[in-house]
Amino acid sequence: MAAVTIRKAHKTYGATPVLHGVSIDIEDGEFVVLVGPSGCGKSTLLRMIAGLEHITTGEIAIGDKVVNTVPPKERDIAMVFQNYALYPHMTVAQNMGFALRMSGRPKAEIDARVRRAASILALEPYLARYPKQLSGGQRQRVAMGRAIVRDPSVFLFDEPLSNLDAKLRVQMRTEIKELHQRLGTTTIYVTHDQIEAMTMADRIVVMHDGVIEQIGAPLELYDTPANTFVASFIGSPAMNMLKGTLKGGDIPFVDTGKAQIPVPGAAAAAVGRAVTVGIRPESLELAENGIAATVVVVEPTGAEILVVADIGGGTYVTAAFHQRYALRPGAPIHLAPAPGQVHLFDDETGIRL
Amino acid sequence: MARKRWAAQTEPQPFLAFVLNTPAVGLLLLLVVYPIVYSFWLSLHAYNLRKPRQFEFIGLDNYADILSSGQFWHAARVTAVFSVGSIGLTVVLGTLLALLLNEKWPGRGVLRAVALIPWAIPPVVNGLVWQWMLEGRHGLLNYIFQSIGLIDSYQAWLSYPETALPALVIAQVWNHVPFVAIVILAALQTVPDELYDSALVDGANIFRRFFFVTLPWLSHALLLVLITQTMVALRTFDIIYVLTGGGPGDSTTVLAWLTYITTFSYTDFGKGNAYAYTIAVLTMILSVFYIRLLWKRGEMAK
Repeated sequence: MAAVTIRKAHKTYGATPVLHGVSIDIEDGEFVVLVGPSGCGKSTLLRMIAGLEHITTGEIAIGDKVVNTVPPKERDIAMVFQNYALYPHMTVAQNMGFALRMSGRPKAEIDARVRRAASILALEPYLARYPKQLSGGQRQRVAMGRAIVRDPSVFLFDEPLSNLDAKLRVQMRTEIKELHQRLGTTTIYVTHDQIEAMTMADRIVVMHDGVIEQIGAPLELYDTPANTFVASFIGSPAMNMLKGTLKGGDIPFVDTGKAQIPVPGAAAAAVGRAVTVGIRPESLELAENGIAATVVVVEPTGAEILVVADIGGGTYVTAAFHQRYALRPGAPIHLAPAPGQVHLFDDETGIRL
Repeated sequence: MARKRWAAQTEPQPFLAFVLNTPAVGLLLLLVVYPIVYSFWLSLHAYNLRKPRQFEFIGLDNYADILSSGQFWHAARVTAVFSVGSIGLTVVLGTLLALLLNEKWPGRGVLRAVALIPWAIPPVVNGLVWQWMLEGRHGLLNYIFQSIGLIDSYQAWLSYPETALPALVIAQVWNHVPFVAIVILAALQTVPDELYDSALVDGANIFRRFFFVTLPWLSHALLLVLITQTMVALRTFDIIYVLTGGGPGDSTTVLAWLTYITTFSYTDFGKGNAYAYTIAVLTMILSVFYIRLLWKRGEMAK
């Protein structure tokens, strides 16, 4: 096991910059998820940690050792790939033992370690099979088995669940998290799916266009997003974002032109500025004195109902209610944010106020 | 109205199906099946054009004659040497060329196109080209070898048994390497990059990546190439016709050439067809052998 330290890592392909100085301290045994939209550089960063991509400038250290120029096999890492990358002509057992075989371990030791890993992942019945004879979930598990056989310092996962169907994805999510709790190995996991990130991570690194937007525990990101990008990226359905001007008074409020949203406790210094107000769908409540709106669409999910409403001039907001209100499209309603559940961002920079 | 009647016609019409298929089937029967069956029928007869009225059924006697003649076994040996040499070199060089063409480097596109040219050349023309190359008094090969000091004086390469067969192998290889290279290149381009990444992380060096990732992935393509190249090698006739005529002596008399001279020089159609069938059976046996050798591994690559 080992900590992973990334200091001001830059990456350019030719003249195209991909990463603009990324720094992360990953503690020993931590489960860190790199999340962001496609093209944000998260996979590139993971491949740099693996040694599959060169670091243009900056430093990556595993444990105490800077590994910038160390080849992948000497980094003591194991990686699980998006398409599993199982060797098609090798059996499950041969796949899992391949790395040990390459490092010249005795056959008896390889067999023992493969069997132990197989028992952890319930793969024993499949050891003699070939990858093409396995289902997607089983292949995924073999890919993980191949990683844990080596007992590495760091696990790297590159979007490992994106090829599975929704149900299996949820199941494997739990399995990976459980495996991490059991083995306690430092894990770096890349995904574009914020729900995967929220459910699995000890800490999440939100990336966008080659920079880190925020690093924090899942609920930290959810409750206090550092900027509008994180605010709208984390959470589903996404946070409602409304532009307006912050105005003073007994209770400061944001005037969006169509609605006035009270923001108790807003800094007096920010009064008069152009701001973006963020309100999570579940923070909106039906209230007599709230913002007038017209129901556009009602989407019951079972656990809650999502109501998309027009607050005027085609500006839509989404509200999530746990009560099963009988609302029909076209019905007039009034919506108000729950007290203290309003996020305020600078309109220009997007930074949280 | 007419359209509706057509559309409404859902009854099977076996008669129409037969009528529509008859021209194609008839052509196949006439041009493929009939000659195959007729040539087998001939191979069971004593039939020499020198005595065209004598057409006697002799069962497998032609085959027995062939298998007990020293001529056949000599030609079989020559064929084996020629085939092993040309197939081996073609597959190895073709694979190496494919690996080269699969790497990213400037000029790759041009070379990919150029590499195909020898394949587009008909075997007879290929033979003529190599006839010039190997020519004893003005040949290019002589010039090159002499200027790099490999030989003292010009040699008539095709006039000595020791060099005639290798010369044929080289001509054959030059003609067929592009085909192998293209097939292998196509297979190479389907290898997922992830497998190489994974092998890198697993600590496999460049040679092990080739033997554990690339080569197994190519087994289907190699199977295809081996079978087609074996067929080509066993049937090779054109370049021998042009370059050596089976000589000097009988040093380059392969089975296909023996078939040709038996049939058309000695006009022994019975035995000639028996030779042709012997080659066909030999090819079939070798193909089955290849498939058994490579199929299981290849299937795993899918």
